[in-house]
Amino acid sequence: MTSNEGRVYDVGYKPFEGELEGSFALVRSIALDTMRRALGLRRRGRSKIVPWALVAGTTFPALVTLIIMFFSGSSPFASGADPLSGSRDLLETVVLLSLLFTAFVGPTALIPDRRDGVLNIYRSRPVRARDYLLGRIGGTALLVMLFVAVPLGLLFAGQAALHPDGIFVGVGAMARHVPSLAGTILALSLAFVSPVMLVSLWAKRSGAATGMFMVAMLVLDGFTEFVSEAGTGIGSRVLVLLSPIENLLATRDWLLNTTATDNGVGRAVLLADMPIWSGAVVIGSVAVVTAGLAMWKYKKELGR
Amino acid sequence: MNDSLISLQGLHHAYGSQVALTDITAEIPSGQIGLVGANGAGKSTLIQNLLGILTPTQGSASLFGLPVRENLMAVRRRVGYMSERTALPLDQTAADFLIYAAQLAGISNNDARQRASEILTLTGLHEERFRHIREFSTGMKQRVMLAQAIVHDPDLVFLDEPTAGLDPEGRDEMLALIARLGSFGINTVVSSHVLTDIEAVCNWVVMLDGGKLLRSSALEALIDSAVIQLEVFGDTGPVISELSTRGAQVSQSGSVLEVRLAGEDPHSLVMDALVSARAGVRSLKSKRTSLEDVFLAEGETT
Repeated sequence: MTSNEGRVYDVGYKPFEGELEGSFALVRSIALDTMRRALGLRRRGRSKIVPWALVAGTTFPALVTLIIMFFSGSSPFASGADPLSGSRDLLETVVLLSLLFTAFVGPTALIPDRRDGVLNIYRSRPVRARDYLLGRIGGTALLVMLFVAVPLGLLFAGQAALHPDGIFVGVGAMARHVPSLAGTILALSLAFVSPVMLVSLWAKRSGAATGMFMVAMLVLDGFTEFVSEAGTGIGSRVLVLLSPIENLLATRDWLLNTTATDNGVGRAVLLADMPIWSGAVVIGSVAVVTAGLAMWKYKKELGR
Repeated sequence: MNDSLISLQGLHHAYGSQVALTDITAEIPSGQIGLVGANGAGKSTLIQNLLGILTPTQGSASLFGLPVRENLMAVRRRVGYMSERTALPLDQTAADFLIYAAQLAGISNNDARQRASEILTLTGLHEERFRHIREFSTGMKQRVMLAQAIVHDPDLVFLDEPTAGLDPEGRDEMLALIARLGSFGINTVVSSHVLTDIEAVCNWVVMLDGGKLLRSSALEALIDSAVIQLEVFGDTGPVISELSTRGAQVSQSGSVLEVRLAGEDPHSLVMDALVSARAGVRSLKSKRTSLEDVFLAEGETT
């Protein structure tokens, strides 16, 4: 069958006629981009070295612990020990690596967009400051949580698998600890991501932000230890709450029901004169202040 | 119902005590719009008000009939923006960046991949799509900037100094790309202080100077190509008389006559008049009134 009618198309350009997605998809795209950038995925090889070395650094102790447990048959269930002891010890090891990881990946969330002028692109897209920050800061917080959750999850699965009555009984026995572990991981992420974002809101270079964050964290930690040893007055007790690391460890002790004797470090003693949950309150408050400041700054940057 | 693409009503913008735009009122139709003015004329401030990045101190701006401040997200779904300064994530490949730029406009991942591929082909970057932007030349970076501005199929794209920093060849390629946007149904606002660029790609011109609106009108009405400059031997009186009789406008400067004929090419009319007046011609040439002439003349009158 033939037709005399015809149409000419410009194949060089096709208008977009699909459906547009909403703000949830927008936040997801920004968060995924944040995580890819932080881990150096689809970037040059050099940008992968530090994050992946740190990931290996957290996973390795979990694997070693599991291997020792497997070959020695020293499952906490078999010996009647507290099944959370391995997780507590691992958290102790992971805290410093998490701090380094956050210091390295945190500044890459906000600073490059400002430095390279890329915010201009967000200004011509239906991206609110809220969406942008949820994607960038939320993506970083999620990544830091995964950084800790992966080795803990490995340990969790390994311990469950070594249960004398089988893996399913093991999972059941471990499951009741999941909320406390999840809360601790969230606290760790907030404790470190909030201050690194505070620095990143104003720093012009990622390297400088990493340095400032690390110095601030270590100085505050040293200062609070000094203050706590120097006196027990109300001033000293309040000053103890300045250190995100101490607040995190106090929160961990609170959520995982640890005492100073249990973990052998005695950090909770620093907060002995304060309610043990006060560390969690400070972590939450710093997160809220950071979110408020970030919204204030980026509403101006993005126009809404 | 207002069918202007851009409507400006008493738009005024000040940075503290420094006034950047003063009482701009204009109705600008769809098409390829040139925004011209010297550096500091207020071009970028006007674009930022239209994108809702800045809030006018007084007055209002509307795009597609929608007040920008009240409909910011709806407006931003329909616009693209290529900033004057190179604004690119240098550590990404062109393909990854364009996919992300499309997703930021709400396009799904699969569609974004398709759009990115098509636009990279359109802008001549398809072969280079897996190279990191850091390795690109200035011209290629400008093309990536243009690509991200149109990857989501906007109704209107703002191009702020799109040829800045390009060599002549790169500039011609960029202008050719911009000229094609109109055939895709994409309106453009091209901001530039290079007036020949505006003449090459625009059909409407908005002139700014010192934050004030000098002119907003069709390019055709501004530049007059139907002018002949004529110099004759001897007395110019008979020639002027013959030209005037035939309806031409004549102005004289010494022995040089400038002849205009509204809406028509005056060449044949000038020939007829010269024959009738039996005048000898010393020189005869077409004089083109460029956008630059108009801009300079407007600047002098204000």
